[in-house]
Amino acid sequence: MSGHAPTSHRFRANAAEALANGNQVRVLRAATARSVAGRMQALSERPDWEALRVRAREVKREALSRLDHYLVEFEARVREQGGTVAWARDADEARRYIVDLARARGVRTAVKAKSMTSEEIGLNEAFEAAGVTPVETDLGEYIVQLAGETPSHIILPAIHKSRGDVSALFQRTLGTPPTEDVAELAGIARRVLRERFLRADMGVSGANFAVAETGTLVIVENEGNIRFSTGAPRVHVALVGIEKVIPRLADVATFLRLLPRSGTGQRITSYVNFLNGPRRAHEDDGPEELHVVLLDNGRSRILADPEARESLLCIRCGACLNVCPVYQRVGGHAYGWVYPGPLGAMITPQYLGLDRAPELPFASSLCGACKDACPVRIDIPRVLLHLRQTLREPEATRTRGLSAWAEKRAVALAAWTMTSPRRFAAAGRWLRRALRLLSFGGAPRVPGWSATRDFPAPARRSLREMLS
Amino acid sequence: MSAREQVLADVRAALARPWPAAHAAPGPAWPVTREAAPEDPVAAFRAKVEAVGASWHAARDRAEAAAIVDALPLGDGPVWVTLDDLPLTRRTVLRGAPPRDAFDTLAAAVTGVAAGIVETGSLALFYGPGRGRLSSLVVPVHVAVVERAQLVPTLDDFLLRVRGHLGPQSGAVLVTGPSRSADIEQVITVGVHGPKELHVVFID
Amino acid sequence: MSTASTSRPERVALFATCLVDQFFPEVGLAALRVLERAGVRAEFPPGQTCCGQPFFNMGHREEARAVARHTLEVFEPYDAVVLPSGSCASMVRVFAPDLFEAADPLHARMAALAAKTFELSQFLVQRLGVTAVGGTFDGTVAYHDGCHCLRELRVRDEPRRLLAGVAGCRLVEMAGSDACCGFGGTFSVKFADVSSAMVADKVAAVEATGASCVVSTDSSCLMQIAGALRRRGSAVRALHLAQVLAGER
Repeated sequence: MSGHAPTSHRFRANAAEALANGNQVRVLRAATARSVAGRMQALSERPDWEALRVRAREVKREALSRLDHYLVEFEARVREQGGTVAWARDADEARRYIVDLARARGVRTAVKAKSMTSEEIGLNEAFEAAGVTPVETDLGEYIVQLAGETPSHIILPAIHKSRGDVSALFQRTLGTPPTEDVAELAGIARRVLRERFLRADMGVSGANFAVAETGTLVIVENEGNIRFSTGAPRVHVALVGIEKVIPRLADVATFLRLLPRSGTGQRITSYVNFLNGPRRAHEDDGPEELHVVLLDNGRSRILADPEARESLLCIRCGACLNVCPVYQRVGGHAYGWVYPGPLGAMITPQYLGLDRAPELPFASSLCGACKDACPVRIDIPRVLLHLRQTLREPEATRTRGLSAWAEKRAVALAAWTMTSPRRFAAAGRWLRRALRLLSFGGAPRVPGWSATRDFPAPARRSLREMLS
Repeated sequence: MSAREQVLADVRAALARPWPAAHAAPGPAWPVTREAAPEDPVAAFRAKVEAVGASWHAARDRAEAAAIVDALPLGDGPVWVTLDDLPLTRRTVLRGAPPRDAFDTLAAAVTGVAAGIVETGSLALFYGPGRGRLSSLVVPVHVAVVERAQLVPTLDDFLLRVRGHLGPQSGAVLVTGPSRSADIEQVITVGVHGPKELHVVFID
Repeated sequence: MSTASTSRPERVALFATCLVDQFFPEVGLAALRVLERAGVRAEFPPGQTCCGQPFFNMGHREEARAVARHTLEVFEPYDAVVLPSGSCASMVRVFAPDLFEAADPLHARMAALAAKTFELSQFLVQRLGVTAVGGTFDGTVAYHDGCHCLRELRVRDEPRRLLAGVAGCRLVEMAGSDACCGFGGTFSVKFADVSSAMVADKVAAVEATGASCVVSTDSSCLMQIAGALRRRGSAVRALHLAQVLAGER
């Protein structure tokens, strides 16, 4: 997050702020509803949808199961084609490589295709500190960059902004006249960014897939900014998480059938780039240099946790965000870091450390909508449950009102109670009695609950009492 | 230890721990997905092409294709043509790349394709000598001339074809419709960075 | 796990769940009544307590295991176990076996119990092949799909078929019937504002159907939805599936 420290530790406070912003809630609900409808429409075209999901998961599992092998194969292919492969253990190493390269090549402006990984390592900040101007070129990312904000959705970064917001933003930062016409707003961005593309010294992208068999980077897009960023400047840097490697070119078909439908409800994106090294001697254009930076930055650590390993199957489609009832209401910024929604709840605690995002594994009702939407069938609730086991309540949610100690004692006591019918029956009687006392004539007042909902009047007799 | 050695060592160490039992069993063997070939591939291709907002023009041969391009309502500027044997008469034709600051004067680009993919209504453009990356990108209008023999049924067929090409050449792109964005209020606008218009001239 | 069977289980236990036992006993009584009408005389083993899900969802695996072990001992002797709760049934069927290591004999025993444990509508329709249990209910109902019931047990059509078999009961599908109500255990309290926003939309969807009653397989969901309905002063009732099938007035 360029210049923005993570706020993943205060999800609840962020969420409260988001919920209080009625306008944003409305915009977000409408946008996610549209995305959900689009996805349902698009997948209905494929009667083999479930089979595709099974296949995609298998391919990714295979890739991860032999990740070292496929990484080495990918590297060899890229180098054969004149590309350079750099390995980065962490964000710092990745930033240093890219910035050093920019310096060495006299780069003044770097155009950036949308890359969550570049946000993850804070590349823009590093560029700026080194005197290189990073220019986001995806329309949504460009808007967010001009606004000095961070993206709130991995596919629609400016999903939280209305056209009025964008018009005001362009007026303020570019001096353009106000307009409510979306095509005009897009036209402004096209004109401004056209110059940038053609004059930039470096283009930075991510990749959706890195094909080991052929050394190919596969990148999907709709705008053409990735074709531009990877095709026009002399140097192309592709920053690729190690988990993006897939075994064979033939595997790409399965993912192309799943990813656009899952993310944007499209049969296929406007452009799918297949990039194999820098331009060849006899070609007319293309970058003179291709540098692929393979990034670990915690991925091998996630790989080492078998119960969390499936987090790495993610192909960054955004479907889980759109269907998540929590994300739909609080938006991406509430999650406090690069990756929002169920994806963020799953991986932010693993990348940043559980202590820096303790609430995230609990910021879910475990409804499972994300699991059903995921094209690679990641059981996100299961991973969240696994994370909850390492960081249990009440540490995670730092309960107010009840001290953490008291809640821990309560859990231990409750478990002890539940292993004996006699204790259970007695505890039930006492609890119902206590609730009647808390009722003050009306419904019981239960902290946390009763602000917005009535609590049921406690039963006079339990079922076991009635049946005995 | 170099970063490369460290990363690979960490990956290998991580993989020493097996997947959980619930995840470990391999799924059923899955064959490559083959859709039933459509009865009329040209009609199916046309439907998908038009569904993404590209325009369809039918021609019997190159001469007719050229006449169609000549008649398109393009701007006044030159047309960047990377396709051989297209006798345009009413346009200024550029055969090599113009300088970058002349890109904005271009009215259109006319290219061939390596393949047309019926499954998605996509055009496959393979980069190579005389067929660069930028011609079909920087212009407001992209005209792609496609021949019936170039149609393939599925993405799998395309991937088989492109495989031999990647390596000797630096890449390829699948083009489906004009450039588009839905980043502002999910309202679709075309021509955000790439072409606003895509025309497919189909020689049957 | 295969649940299809043509033989009728002989000894059937009702696992009421801690919530129903202590807070919604009428649901337990209704479930027994419904089972009886389907020709099953279910027992209520008094040793039962809780399935362990609250502990499991809070991340307290050891406590969940201890409680699941107790549940195993109580219900193992039966041929089938029926729960008026999709989430509790999914705890036993889906999550409880993996609380024990694969090599632990308790794992196999828990898996065996899981295979003969069912949510009520799942038991009636899949296990017994029964889709009509008689009874009458006068009114329009909207059905809420509890998340675990839908996504862990894949039980979606069974409750609807049973409701269709109740004379006088008219089922209206509501928009977002499969959207989470926002309960999620401690989520409802720890993330109360998000939870409340979720149930507000659920209530709006219920009211938009014009139904006089919202129905679900899960008392936890009903507690959340009813709580919001009551706070609004709505006259819409919230009933458990068992109550509608039993012909609650």
